[in-house]
Amino acid sequence: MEKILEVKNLKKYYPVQKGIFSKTSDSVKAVDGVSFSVQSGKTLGLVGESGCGKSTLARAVLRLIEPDLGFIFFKNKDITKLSYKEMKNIRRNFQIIFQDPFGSLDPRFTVFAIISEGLINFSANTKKEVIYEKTVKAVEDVGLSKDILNRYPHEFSGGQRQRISIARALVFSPKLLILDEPVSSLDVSIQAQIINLLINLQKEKGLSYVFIAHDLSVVRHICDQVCVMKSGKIVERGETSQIFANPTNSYTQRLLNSIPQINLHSTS
Amino acid sequence: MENILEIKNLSTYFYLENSIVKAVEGISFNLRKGEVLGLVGESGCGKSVTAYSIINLIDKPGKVGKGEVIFDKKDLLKINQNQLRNIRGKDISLIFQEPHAALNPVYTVGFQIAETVKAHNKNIHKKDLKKRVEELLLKVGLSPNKKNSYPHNLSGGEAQRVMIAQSLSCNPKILIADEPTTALDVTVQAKIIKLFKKLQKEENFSLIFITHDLALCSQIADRVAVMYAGQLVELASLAKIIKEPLHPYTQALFGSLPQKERRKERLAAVGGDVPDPDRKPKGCFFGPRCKIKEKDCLDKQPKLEEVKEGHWVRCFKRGDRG
Repeated sequence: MEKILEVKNLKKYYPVQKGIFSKTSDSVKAVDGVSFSVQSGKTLGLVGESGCGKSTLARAVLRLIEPDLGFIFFKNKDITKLSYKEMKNIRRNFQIIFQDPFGSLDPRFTVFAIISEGLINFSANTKKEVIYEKTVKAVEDVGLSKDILNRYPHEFSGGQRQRISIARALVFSPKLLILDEPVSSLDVSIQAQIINLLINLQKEKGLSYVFIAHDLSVVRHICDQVCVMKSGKIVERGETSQIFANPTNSYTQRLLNSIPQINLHSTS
Repeated sequence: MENILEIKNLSTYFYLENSIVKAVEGISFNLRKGEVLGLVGESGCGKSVTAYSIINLIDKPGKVGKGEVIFDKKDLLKINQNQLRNIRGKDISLIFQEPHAALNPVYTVGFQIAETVKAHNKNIHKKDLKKRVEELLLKVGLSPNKKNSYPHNLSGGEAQRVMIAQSLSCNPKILIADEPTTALDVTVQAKIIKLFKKLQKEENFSLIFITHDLALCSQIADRVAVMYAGQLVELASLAKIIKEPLHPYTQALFGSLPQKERRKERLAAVGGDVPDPDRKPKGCFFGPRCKIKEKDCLDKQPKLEEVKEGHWVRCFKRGDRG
């Protein structure tokens, strides 16, 4: 199957500076030689506890943070060394959705402005009607009505905001979505709505996902492959069913054993 | 079993400038001696406010209105501040969600644990105090040397252990834990839950465990109370809640959890959102989102009724059937 994204030996170190001359004494290895690939139309899960480098990895893959070392291939094209301009053209193909829908939407923009901003940015000459049409389409794709376009983010609940974030990403018809803990700040009933939405969108549009999460039961539900991260490294990878059934790495085992399960036997 | 705490018709309202937010509306339940009661619900449903109302920790503009909280034959809502202070931290103590926010950053953890002990045993000798602090740290699985650390030296899990040590310092009869593991990673969470179980066996306190995570609740609770929009909608033993949840909201909560066997399938999500606390529906609060609602449900409020022994449900349709 076609690989939509391939990452090879990606590294991102942050220097630790000490003393009055800010001498670099050490470095935090946020992402330390990570390689993985995402198949077209599939979902790759990135799992790990806080501070393991998941979010740095997500941003480095999109070159929102410049990686120090390594290669990123998007559809077999190396994008690591592309210039800002070349990168801009390619960016519309992959989008990121952030964890906190309260922090990632500009409070001074209407929903229409939020969603259409990218469209205007990427194709300045597009007619207004086309932009409006595309925006409406994106909003309806995520299960909201077009009446909300003139409202502001503070008028929406967490779940609705996350839908707006997804609409903002979908408006370019991207191939790949990087979802950085998209449901972890939501309540379970709302979380279920968003998971359903993501599964539907993938089926309809053939999207590929990189799904970053610390909630393993959600990862098991939605991902085809899983990579388990610890201190900037991938310690185990494989098919979801296999990882959850027979984890080989001791850290993965510990992580899996920690998921609270609804257990009837302990109650009787 | 003997009841240690009886809560009757507890209501807490917040009086804002142009509206009244009814955070908790008429909650009644009993806490039995030595049991773990899980209080489950989504954000904003009034779990924490319920917990704080029990020991009257509600600040302005909020006010605990009518209702009774009977502990040790006294109504905690009627007694004065001095008497209440003697109960808080001693007989009933509270563990907060964010350990780093709850601990004072400028004092060592040993000092903060000792503070609680001293507050309730005025004449305690210095040596005994030191011994007690070390003993408490050991009990929660920390080295006694940690007493000289400041909160910023501790990881999230360690800080939560310190909070637990502090709350246990006066051998409380009731412990209220408000989302004690929400800010922690799963592996740490598992350890803290294990610690709670161990301590509960050793100390035999009653525990009100507040959480939004049903699966987590099922690991520790004996009975489960489910809250929605400020009301109790279902209360039953853990086994009953899991095997036959009767309220449509409880059922929906379970439907929302991803299951091992149903990968990639649609989850049985509930449509809509939790109602605004100052714009709740007229009838059943869950009515507008409910799948099995009837006309009546949108006009009238159901009452919390005992449908089967020990199984309380607030729903017209389920009530009739049971």
